[in-house]
Amino acid sequence: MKNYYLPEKTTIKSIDKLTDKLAIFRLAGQNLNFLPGQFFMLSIPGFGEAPFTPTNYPDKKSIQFLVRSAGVLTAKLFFLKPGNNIFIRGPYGNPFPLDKFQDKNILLVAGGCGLAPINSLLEYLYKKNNCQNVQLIYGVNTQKEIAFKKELLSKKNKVEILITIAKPDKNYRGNVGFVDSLITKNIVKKESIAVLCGPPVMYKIAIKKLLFLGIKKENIYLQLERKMQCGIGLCQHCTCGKKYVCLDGPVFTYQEILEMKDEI
Amino acid sequence: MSKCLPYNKIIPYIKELSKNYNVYFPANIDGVIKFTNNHNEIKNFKWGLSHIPPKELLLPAFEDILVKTDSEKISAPNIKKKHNIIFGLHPLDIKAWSLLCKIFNQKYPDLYFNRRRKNIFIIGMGDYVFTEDFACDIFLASLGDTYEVVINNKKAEFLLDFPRIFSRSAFVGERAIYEADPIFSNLEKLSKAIEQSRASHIWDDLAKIDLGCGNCSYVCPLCFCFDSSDHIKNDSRVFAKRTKHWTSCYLKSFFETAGGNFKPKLRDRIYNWYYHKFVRMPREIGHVGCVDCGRCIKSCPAKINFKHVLKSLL
Repeated sequence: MKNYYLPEKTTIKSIDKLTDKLAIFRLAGQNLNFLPGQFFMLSIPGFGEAPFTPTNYPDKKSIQFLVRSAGVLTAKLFFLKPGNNIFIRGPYGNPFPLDKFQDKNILLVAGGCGLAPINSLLEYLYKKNNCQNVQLIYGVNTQKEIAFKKELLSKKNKVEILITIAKPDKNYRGNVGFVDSLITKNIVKKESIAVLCGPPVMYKIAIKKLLFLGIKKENIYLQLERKMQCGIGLCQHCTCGKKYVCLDGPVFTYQEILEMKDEI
Repeated sequence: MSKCLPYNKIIPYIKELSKNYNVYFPANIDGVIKFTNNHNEIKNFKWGLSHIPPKELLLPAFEDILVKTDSEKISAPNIKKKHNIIFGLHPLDIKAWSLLCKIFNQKYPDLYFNRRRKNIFIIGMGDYVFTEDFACDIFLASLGDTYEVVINNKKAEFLLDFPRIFSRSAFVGERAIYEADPIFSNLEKLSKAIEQSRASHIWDDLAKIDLGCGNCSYVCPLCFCFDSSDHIKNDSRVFAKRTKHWTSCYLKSFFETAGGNFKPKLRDRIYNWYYHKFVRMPREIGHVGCVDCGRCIKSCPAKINFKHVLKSLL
């Protein structure tokens, strides 16, 4: 019988610190196969375990995580250096329904750390190149917090990248505000599939705007965040009505969420 | 002819079994029925519903799931393969065990649960049985002053290898079948009533008197939700072990995440407890998450009776 709680050891290859509390960790991941949207349980023995979504294209060479320091485990992560060990198990959950995205207009909406799964999906769509039109609306608090800036800008030929900053510096000339300030009639294409990931407050406002623009409930995909302890549908921390975020999610359509009648 | 265990041979039987096996039995300890494997308590054997269900033998309150074996390796701890025997398990607890086995053997079977379950033989005892989900190896069916031995698992027959203890009887009793409270008779109606009650004032009213202490979860033979936490060795920063331990969905911290708490209100957590037991579990295992043992009612400091709540919903 497989021990689903037993993690594998892996090594940190590089750390790219954006701010004191936000960094990109690249881990060696030879055997870690996944699809955008699925998540892994990362742990440091002595500091606990928590779920994280990879943020790169699944290339089996390495696996990348965008981490905000928020608790005991993530605080410890920021003290680690390349070459240190870290433990990982997964992947868990279901990926984005990638077949359904074929030949469609895709609108990606990411708020802060919510870029993690969105970037993975973006890399995937960019490589496969089988969508009609891909747009990314990415909102952060300050300029420094923009993750994968170079990588994002390099895709500008095929992907429309729209960044908005809530608290910009004086020299900043781009869009100011939260992501919802860019969800407008002029930007959002008709019949788009929207994929959202960000803090709960972002979902509430962004969904309202998307529905107003005529995007169907079943075409709005969200990735939900819960602090699951097992990842295999037992611990009950990630229940949403009849569903488990770890087994049935973490990707749900807004329609499914309404049926669950639970918090986003 | 059937094998029988006379009432006055129960204590000698436990003593005989304890010579070779690790036997847990219910005993009256300080006025409360508890499961114990302490030989000195055999004389205090008392059959009945224990204060805390013996689920601890399958799901310990604290269970080590990972330990450090050498400087860089962590692995699952080994457990002793010695056979454990639970003697005198109440029919309601047998039912609860069988349902727990279903829960922990769904899409991803839990290794820790199953390896414990594999090492335990159950000798049930009582005056009624369930027709479904009643997995005990041997059942001692009460016939008044004697117990008829019913063998459900042939591999457990070695537990009856004590000729001086058992007698033979021509009398074969008819076992009573457990009759559930009519409140559980229409599962669909019950599930629907709870599903539709999400916005009901019942949960707000309940939250006013409920302490949110989670006692009901700890004493419930079918509550199994857990947390995991890491421990370090005393006075060092060296990882010692990762444990899985009991928690309760009544506690505020249960739905806490980095992005906020998803159920900060007690009324929503209370609703979640009922939803899990009477909506989600029937969907998953075909049975409510309750065997009607009444332990949660007895141990509720706010004197809340879940049946009154269910009745008010129906």
